[in-house]
Amino acid sequence: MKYGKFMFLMVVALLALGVGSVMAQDAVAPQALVIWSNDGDANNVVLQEQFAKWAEAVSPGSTLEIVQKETEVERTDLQAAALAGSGLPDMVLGPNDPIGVYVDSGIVQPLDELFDISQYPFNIGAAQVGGETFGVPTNAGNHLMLMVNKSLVPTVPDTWEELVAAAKAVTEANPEVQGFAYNLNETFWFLPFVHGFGGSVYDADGNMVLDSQPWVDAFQFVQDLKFKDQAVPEECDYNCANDLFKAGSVAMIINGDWAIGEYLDTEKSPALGPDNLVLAPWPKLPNGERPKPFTAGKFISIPVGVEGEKLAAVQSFVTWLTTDPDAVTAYALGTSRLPAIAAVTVDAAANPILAESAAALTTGVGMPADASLRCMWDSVKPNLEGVMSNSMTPADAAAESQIAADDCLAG
Amino acid sequence: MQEFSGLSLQGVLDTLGVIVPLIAALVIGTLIFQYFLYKILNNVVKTSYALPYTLLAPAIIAILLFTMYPLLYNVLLAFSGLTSKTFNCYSPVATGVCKLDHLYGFDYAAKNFTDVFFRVKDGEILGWGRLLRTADSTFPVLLGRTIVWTGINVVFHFFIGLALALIMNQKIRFKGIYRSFIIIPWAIPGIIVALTWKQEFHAQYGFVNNLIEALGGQGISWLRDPIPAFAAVTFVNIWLGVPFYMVMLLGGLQSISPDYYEAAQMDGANSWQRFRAITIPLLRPILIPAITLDVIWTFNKADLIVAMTGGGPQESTNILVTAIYNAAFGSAATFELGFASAFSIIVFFILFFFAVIWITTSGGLKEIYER
Amino acid sequence: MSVLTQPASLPPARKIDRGRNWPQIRMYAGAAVAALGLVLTVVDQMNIGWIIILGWLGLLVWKQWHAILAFYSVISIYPVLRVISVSLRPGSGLLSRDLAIIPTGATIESYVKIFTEETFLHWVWNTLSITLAVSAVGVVVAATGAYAFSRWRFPGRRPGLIFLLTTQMIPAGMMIIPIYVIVAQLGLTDNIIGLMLAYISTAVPFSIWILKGYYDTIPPDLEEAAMVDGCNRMEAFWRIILPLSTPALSIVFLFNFLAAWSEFLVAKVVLKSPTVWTWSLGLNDLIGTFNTDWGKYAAGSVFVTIPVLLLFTWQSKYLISGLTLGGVKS
Repeated sequence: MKYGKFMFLMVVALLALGVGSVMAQDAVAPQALVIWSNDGDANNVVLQEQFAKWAEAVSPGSTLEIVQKETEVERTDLQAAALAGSGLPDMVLGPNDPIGVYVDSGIVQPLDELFDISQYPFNIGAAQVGGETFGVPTNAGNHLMLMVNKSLVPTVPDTWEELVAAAKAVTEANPEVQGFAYNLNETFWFLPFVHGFGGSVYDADGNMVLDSQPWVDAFQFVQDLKFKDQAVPEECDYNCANDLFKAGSVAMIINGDWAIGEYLDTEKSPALGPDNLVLAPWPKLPNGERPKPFTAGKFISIPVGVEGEKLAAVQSFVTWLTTDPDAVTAYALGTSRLPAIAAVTVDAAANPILAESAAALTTGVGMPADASLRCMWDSVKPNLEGVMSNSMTPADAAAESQIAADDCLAG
Repeated sequence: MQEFSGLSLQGVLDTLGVIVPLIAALVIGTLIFQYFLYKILNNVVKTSYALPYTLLAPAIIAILLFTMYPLLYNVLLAFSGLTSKTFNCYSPVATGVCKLDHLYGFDYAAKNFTDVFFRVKDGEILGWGRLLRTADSTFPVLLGRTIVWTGINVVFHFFIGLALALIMNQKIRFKGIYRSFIIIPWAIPGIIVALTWKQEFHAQYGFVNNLIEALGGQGISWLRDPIPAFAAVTFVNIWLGVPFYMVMLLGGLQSISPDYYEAAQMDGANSWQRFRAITIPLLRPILIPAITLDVIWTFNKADLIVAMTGGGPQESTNILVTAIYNAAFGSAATFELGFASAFSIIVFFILFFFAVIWITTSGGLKEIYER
Repeated sequence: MSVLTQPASLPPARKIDRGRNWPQIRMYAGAAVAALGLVLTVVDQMNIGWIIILGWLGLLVWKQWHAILAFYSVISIYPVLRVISVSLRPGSGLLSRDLAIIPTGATIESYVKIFTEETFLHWVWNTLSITLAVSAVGVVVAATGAYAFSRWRFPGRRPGLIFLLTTQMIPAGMMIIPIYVIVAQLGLTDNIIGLMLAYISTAVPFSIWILKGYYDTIPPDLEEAAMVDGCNRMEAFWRIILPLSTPALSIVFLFNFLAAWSEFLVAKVVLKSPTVWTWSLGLNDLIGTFNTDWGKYAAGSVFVTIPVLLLFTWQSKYLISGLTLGGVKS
């Protein structure tokens, strides 16, 4: 499988919030479960609350320890633990791209027998490798979108031209505030531009092709954005864009759905909150297309070695968390992310932010769980850095990315 | 139980309950072990060096356990075919069919060690192999950069440290205050140093550029461009290392008897001649080990670079040891531990041979082991 | 060039009186330069850059060594002041181009938050208990080991000393996976005992070097005299050598303390659960991917740096005399 193509049919309907209880499940012997999570603090709190509800109804006495790990650390630690043969968690919550590596290494279990995967029609493809499923989606999304502080930019720009103009206007009005910033040197933030120019990571035969015209165009576009239009800061990484946006020192950023919860919290983000935050799809490129972010979601995988009653508990909890309508709704609202099952939809009137996020999600393309994708991320990054410091031409960057990727794929 | 900031009296007692018995057990166990070791060495082996061997035993065992065992484990990994695709052969828990017919062997080692240097396809050497992702991440480039990095750092550490020590060795007021200020970089925990300086080299919000701009200069994108980024990490490492030299050299200078200088002054030697003929030779026994240690530490200084730049931009601030780190754990890593281990063993031996050649040619450590 | 060879104890070389009073002339010239700086500051819209630069030049003219030491002291201390400055900034102004040390709207909010919102004290206590145990045990192990190296010329002595040096050459990156595997296989994950043993063994080689260098400067006659008086070897070591080695022992304690107090890489591998975290893991978490609170981070940094600074200042008299990698012939 190269592209798990899935379309989102975001039926924006009123959600009937029944006063339901945890759906009838067989009781499960109490277990002390451990989950590794690459999610933020606030979202982990929601997860813990959900677990408590499940435990109360199905498995009184069960506990969940949430160990927070950054994505790369989560992957390395899982491999190191598997190499040592001990210390593996019972569940891993993370994005879909490491799943390919986990499968290659044989350290996660196939889940087709344990879960009814037809329940997750939108994005289950993002967790499938070789026809088998290795992750259950807790949400749909993980997509990058345009985020605007309405108090600084009243009209959301629909094209990059408008965005550059709006950004300039912001700085003219107040020199201390930047118009626009994003994580400049990270491939994940760059790839949508490639998609927007009609490119992709793999060609029709499934080969990784990075030196095609769309890649050159995309490199040219981000370089111009920085050096010709001067629309982005000299230097900006994730923390820089994130911190500035929360403090109201930048008016527009590109970020993913994982950050929405924090931006809605006025204590953490004094300049934002529900009144000021607006989400939108990426602005249109000169060719009329929008850059298309990779989309998938966060998935729960089950490492090898989880078996017997423990596995039964994990299976019961994950099934409940991801398919029980009330649980899915509570988790989605608590984390400000979109549900991954068709049975639950978002009430647009009550949750405008989620509706905006859903609209942005439909502009994306599905992200495969193929392990070879890592070679693309890593090979493009240094060349993107070269383009963004104006020391590399777009054509050279594309050509160099291809060479590095070939080298990486060859092992 | 009252709790403040995550700590309660019970928590304190719990930790003490673990640590105190542990220390006690460690001390008593070591003493009993030493007693029997001494008896055996003295009465059974009948060596006249029973006491020194007994005294050394705990230190040697601790070092062997925690530095030699990992080292040997690395050697084992370098002789393995461990990649993410063959991972299940080596992990006791991973599932799937193992495609290897043997787990360890010289064929794997040959491939792992060759891959560090060359790009090989079908038995043909196509050129230098890439250790990371850019064309510049080859072994000779990284080795060259490591040597430049080590050279610049050690030279600046030495000269600035010596200058400060010479000034401080005079009769000068506020000496204590200056000394406390100058050793501050040494006292700050390394991770704080790295992250603080990373912020301070930010093009817009760091004080370095703000200061340059306040004085009418043009700011530099320190961590965005390769050469400024390398200059920035080098500067921070120099800043970190000067206090060690200053303290070492000041100690040395203070222990030189004034009689030497007085005698030389009588003979009409000017101050430069006295410096050359007295200060430098007498400082030599301190200088050689200090420089040796500094070369080793600087060569191996991964944490600062990893925390400040991660080896970027464009992988341009990587030295050999950060390349090992990035190859094994960075975002570029694919858990090819066989390769990463072979790489780290090569780096270790390069440093080892450099050090041995330096120690034997300088002869400066004779003072230490022949005393 | 007198700085090259002018130890404090040497009487100043007699100056040939050329009929001028150079120190006074230099003082007036320096004052004039500084005054010019003051004038320029006032003229140039209170731009204090002038008084700082010309004031320093004035000092350079008047007392050049003080000027150099003051300059270097500022380089050493300014980044620390910046950390304090960040810790005092109000929540909204963390990313700021302000150069003032005391920021506008200074507040101790971050200091309150690090204690109330995080389990900071718990992290510090974890670190402190590990560090003190490591430093104490490390000193004992190194003190006896170094004595063996200093007083006996046993077979294997020279390779042993080189071996100690070799342990410093192992790239830290190559230790991580093996330590992870060992720790997991021995079941020592989240266990501070494993961490302490690892710290002790990494601190010992350098400690032995320092202590051996210091013991070498103590004449063996002292112990021999004691042994003639009826002491055995270990009693002589205990009664004569150890008390005389206070400076070096303090330095070794200080180094072990500093190394264990700030260690990050191994701790990250061994300590997984926040309840056993050391402060370096906790503070790192504050500015990781999940959360970037520079204010709290800076406040925490100030707190954890203070004990080390106090220790350094308290022992700084030993720092100069105790750090002997090789003795100067006297």
